[in-house]
Amino acid sequence: MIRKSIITCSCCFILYSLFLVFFKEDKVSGQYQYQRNIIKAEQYLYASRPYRCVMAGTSLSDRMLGDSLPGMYSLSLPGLHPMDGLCIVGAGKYFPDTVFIETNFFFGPEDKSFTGHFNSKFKNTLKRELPALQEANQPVGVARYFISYLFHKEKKAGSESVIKNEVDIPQNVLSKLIRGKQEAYQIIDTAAVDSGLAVLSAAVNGLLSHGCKVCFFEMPISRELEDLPMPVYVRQSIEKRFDKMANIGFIKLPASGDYKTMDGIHLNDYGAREYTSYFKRELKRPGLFK
Amino acid sequence: MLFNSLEFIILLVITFSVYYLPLLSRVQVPVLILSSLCFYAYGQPILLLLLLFSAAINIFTSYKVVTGSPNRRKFYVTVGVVVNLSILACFKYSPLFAKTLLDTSQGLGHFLLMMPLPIGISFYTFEGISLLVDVYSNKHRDSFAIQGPIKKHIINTLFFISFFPHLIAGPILKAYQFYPQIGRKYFKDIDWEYVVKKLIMGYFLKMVVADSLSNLTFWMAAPYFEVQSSLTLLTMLFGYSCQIFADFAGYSLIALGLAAMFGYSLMENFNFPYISTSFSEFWRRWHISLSTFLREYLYIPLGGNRKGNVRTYINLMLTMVLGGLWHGAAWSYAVWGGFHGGALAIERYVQNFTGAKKAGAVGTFFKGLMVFCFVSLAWLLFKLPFENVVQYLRSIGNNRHVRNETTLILSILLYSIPVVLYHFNYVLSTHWKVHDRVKPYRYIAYGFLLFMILVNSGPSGAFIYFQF
Repeated sequence: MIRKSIITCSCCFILYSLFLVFFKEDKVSGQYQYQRNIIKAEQYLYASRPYRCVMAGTSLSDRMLGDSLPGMYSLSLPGLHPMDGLCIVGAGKYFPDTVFIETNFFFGPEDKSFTGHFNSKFKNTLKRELPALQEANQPVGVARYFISYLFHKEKKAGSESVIKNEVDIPQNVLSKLIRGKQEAYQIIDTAAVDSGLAVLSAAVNGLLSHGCKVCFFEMPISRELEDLPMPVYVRQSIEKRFDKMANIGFIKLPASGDYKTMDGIHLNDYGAREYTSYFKRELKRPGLFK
Repeated sequence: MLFNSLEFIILLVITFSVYYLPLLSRVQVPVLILSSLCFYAYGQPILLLLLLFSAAINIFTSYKVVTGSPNRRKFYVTVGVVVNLSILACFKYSPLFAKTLLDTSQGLGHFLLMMPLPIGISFYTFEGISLLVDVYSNKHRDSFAIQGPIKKHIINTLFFISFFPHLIAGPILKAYQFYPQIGRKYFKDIDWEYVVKKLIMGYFLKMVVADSLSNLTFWMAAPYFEVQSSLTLLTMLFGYSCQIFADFAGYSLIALGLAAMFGYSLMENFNFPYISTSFSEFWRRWHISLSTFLREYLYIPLGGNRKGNVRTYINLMLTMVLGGLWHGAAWSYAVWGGFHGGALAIERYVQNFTGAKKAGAVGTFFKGLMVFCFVSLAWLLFKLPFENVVQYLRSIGNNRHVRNETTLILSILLYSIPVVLYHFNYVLSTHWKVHDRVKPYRYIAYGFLLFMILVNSGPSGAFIYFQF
């Protein structure tokens, strides 16, 4: 029975690998947030050619519309921090020309349980060579894609805004969320920011030494939160540390934007579109990098 | 150390290789003890001392119960049980005590709140109690007796308490079932088919089903659930019900498979609980090692059903509330236990009143569905603090017009299918003779499950029952 089971398993694996040769649907999204992060990282690491521009951030910059930023690979990972994205960049075979780093929550520590997925060279090689082992190709995810497609719930090809469904948060819940954040942002966690800044500096210096340019950007959040002590301290710390360095650029908050959010910090669809346009304009600004 | 971690696989391979070396056949049990202590110490090395202290108490008092003066037996068993319960109370229930009665921002309240929760403490203290009660009651003297030198008793008891497959999340061993098995084991005696079946099914339930569902039911947390539709909330509850089964049953199956690799047989902990058509049947099928423990060491000593109806209902409630509190130091667990105790008492009352009537197929189906719905509803108390449970139920009622998260619903349903099929297969095998003809082809199913473990595992997470 054991031998037969192993043979059956091998047959399933071969058949599924063959199926994946013909089924190349890049719109199969992850089934849950953590998996979507792993897929993003895997697709970056196992890509056949290097990406020129990479964005490292959190769920805040993940709201931006990727298909409006051609040539930009997003390692904005919801639930994680920019350092995790930077670790993935560091684990890649090539370094990009430019790395964009979201600053709002830059000081979060690296999540070793996440980045640990990509530490093993053996595992990475195996996954690169055998697509059936890649997270994006999990049979349940593929099955879900087909079922959704049958019911026309997930468009085969379309804008990312279709996939990034907006959550309708009732006003009372939104107020509660903003109140909670207002309280939290009154307190400046200097220890976390300062130690995070040291780690970020090391990562940025590493990127610069590989010839990359680095651009910091801050995602707009609710106006009620933007100028509270903690966000202000974070903003000033980043500027103070990196402002004078060569090959460093800044995309500052838009002066006249009153961006609407879903929960105080994540832009809603309209806000995300608006900010993406602003971001695109900023990319073309002469003198972005010193 | 997780059963699905690389560190564990390395430890297992080393232990297995050394264990069956003919040269070391005389020290098989010490090899397993050493391996088990490494397994336990990996996460919280300092708390190994507590495990050893607990084992020492049980070794000493149980030995004294057997070999000491007959009129001191009761004293020693009482000391042993009280110390076991004190350890449990101190490390597990201090935070609850502090939160309920003290100011937790400073002083004693803060100290108690910060008390570490040693992994598996509820399991190994119950096993210690089982040992003491079994040697004291002497009910199983035919199959189990402490004999021989103290050295042997120390080794056997340390092994009984620390054997790694059951150490941190059960099944809860009973001394009279385990001690008679201790002895020399041979490689040729391993039932590999049994081992492989248990491991494949266990790892599939844990790594593919439970670990994936845990990420999908994440949104049951406050305040996220408040913005989900009623259908999404109900689906998440259903998913959590499947997740908790897959997680715990998966762990238990892996434990059974691992123990069998070393020649030991642990009791089955799950027997297709979601096909139960009554609450009493559910508790005969769910976490069997705990429910039998509670029955043998608490419910029956309290008087069971021998002291009249009212006393029976009280005993049921008391047993289940304490059983609920055993799971965790929060009042929501007591409410969960009370819910089940109340359900068992009402069920018993109705049965006494109406008599046992056999329902038809449709009736049986609806009874099963009703039990499943109530059991699933009660799992909310496992997932959320009590105040959030109320809010969650309110949201189910209020959010009927909120847009459904179709992709989330679909993913949960897809990952819940194996749990449904697992139970459905059992029903078919017991009611449908044609099913026997399919049995020789079961390797196809196991091969497919193995394939799914390879390509569709979720992110590895701790077992839910580790926290208990």
